[in-house]
Amino acid sequence: MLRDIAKQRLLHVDLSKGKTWVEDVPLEDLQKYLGGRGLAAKWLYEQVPAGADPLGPENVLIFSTGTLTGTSAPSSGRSSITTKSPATGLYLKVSVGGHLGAAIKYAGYDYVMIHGVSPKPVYLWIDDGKVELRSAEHLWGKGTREVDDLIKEEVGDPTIQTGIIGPAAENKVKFACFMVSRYNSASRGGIGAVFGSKRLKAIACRGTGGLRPAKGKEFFALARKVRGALAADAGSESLYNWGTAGSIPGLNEMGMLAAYNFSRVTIEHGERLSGQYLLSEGYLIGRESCFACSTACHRFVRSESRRWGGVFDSGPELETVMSLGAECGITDIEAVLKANQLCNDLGMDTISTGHVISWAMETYEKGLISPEQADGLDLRFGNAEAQLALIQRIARREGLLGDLLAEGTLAAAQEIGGDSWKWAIQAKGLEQSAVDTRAAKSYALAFAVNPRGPDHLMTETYAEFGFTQEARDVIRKVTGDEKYADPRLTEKRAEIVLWHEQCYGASEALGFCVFTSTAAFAVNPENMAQMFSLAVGVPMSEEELMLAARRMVTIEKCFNVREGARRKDDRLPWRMMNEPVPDGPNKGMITDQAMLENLLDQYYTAHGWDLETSIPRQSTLKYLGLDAVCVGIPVIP
Amino acid sequence: MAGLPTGIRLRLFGLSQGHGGRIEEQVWPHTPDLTVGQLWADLQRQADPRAPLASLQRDMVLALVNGVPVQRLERGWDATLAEGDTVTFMVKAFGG
Ligand code: SF4
Repeated sequence: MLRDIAKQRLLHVDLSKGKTWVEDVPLEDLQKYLGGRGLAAKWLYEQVPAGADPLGPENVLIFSTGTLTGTSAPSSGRSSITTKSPATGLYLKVSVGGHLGAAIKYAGYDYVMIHGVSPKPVYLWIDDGKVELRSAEHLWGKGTREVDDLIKEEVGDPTIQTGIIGPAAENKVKFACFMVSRYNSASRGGIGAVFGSKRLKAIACRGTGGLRPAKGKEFFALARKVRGALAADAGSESLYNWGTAGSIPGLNEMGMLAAYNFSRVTIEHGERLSGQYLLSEGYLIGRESCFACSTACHRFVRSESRRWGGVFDSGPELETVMSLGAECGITDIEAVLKANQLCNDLGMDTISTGHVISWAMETYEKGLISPEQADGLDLRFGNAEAQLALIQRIARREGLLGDLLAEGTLAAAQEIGGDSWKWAIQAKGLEQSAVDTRAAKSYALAFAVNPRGPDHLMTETYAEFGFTQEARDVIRKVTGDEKYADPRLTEKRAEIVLWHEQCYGASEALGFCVFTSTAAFAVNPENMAQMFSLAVGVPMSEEELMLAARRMVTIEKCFNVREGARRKDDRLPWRMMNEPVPDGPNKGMITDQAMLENLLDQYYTAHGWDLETSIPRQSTLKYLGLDAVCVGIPVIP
Repeated sequence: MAGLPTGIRLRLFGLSQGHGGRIEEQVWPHTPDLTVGQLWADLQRQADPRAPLASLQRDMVLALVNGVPVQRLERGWDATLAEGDTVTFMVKAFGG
């Protein structure tokens, strides 16, 4: 059965009461917030009271498909999950690919909001219009891949789509993830731990319906045109060839590869962690796409290592090889593949896992973690065996160190004491992505103001490097001059960050992959607005689309303000602000306190937020039509 | 520093046939007024026609001089190279 794209439906699931119900989404809300991440931000603000325990019954999980997810618009198959983060106590949105979003759409829903806490482990089974909570007691404690097999067996259909947590989430590890369609990780901020706290082991879905755009003929023609542009884009070709890990050699040569817990910016033989190496040495055995994407940046690898055992898995992504590899001083790709597989099966974010371990390695080498505290592990940099053991212990909270590191780098540093907080590469409680922000000022600003903590998955300002004409065109459009495509500059960084955060917001509300709109540039605000308009049947200009994205960024900020976050919290990790780049072409560069304050002034001014506190002004909230939504925060005229 | 090879330290990644994932290093003779663009053109001329290097368009190349992307140098591809410079060429890659 075909459903109009404009007629969105929200499925509520109350785990405490075992009840489900459906709510229709008003068209004017869809138009104002674009759907997906945008509407989820508004609902999170309304549903979760200030001070609520992220792992308690008051928190909600909102799985939102993009407004165009399930259509043929290229790369529009992505979804978001929004909640309050147990890692930061602040707003959290994670984006994820795979095919679960499209399945939920075809089952007749656009959003699933999970409330309460189940008395016993359950999984949610959505079979078209039929919704059921099934016992997951027999699945509790099991790894994500085994559970995927078991659920498919149970419902008798290997083609259904799933999202599953592993043992790490059950144990409320603060960086547990949620694995979608078996191989795609919704990874950051401890999203999996929220599922674990609700005793929701999985969401499984079979959807057999379809979607009807308001102006089908024009919509399909435009989608085809954008798909053609995407296929011809250099960024797309590179992502297909080598995946995201193709960027490793360039970063290493430019002195921007985070290594040894960010104490170095290059690593010897770093190219052995690259997508190119995986291809040329025969590890790569296949490629895969998220729903409706022809870029196919996901890959499958196989390794038959005598030392580490066999591996068949997806990825590894750029951030994974940096965090589990270079950050821990490891360039043995077979060991990294093993670590990646373990994290995926146990259900842990590879970025934070790599970082807590690299922090522990530095702390051990500096003598602040004793051999006894390390439970007998030799935690020196480069010891892949110790890393693999520690991954297991963290997921199961085994031993003193495993349990401590499961709380994240900030909590671990507070417990260990001394100066160890200085090399805890975190801010707001989230481990930073493995991008060196000292020599890239838009990245530095974007990471500092990111509502979920310092990472690249809310606003990656790749265009500031100006590597392609398309990237330089974006910079010219946003700043007025191509010359600002230089990451070392501090001028015009707010403009660059604002454009990117809005482009991310719009992409994720509609379901588009940000790789296709901010690394490749074939999907852009203009054609996103046109596709939205043709699909939903309401007018939408590029300016209105970007304004709606600004609206969602502002709600996300207000959520954090209501939790008590202020300007002082928009920070980078201490090492990034106090230790200059140690060597290489960017030697001596830093984004210090004074520079960051200047960047923050630029950014808050551009947003219409109060400079002293960073609180959005009432005049700004009124302009965005949010004064009745973002209530309960200090009023600044 | 007698005994050390002089010239340009050249690092190529993924540009030769069968060396997709490995860095190849060589010393390239330095000549006065040699620019990054000339060096690239010379390399392409000498390349095995089956190697990616031979057919790669220049705008798809990540060219670095001492780790700095060529477009950030004042004269870009026309920047003159000095004795002892390290020049890296590889295919641009995107996304993260
Ligand atoms: S580019 Fe990659 S991550 Fe993005 S939608 Fe396509 S396959 Fe998925």
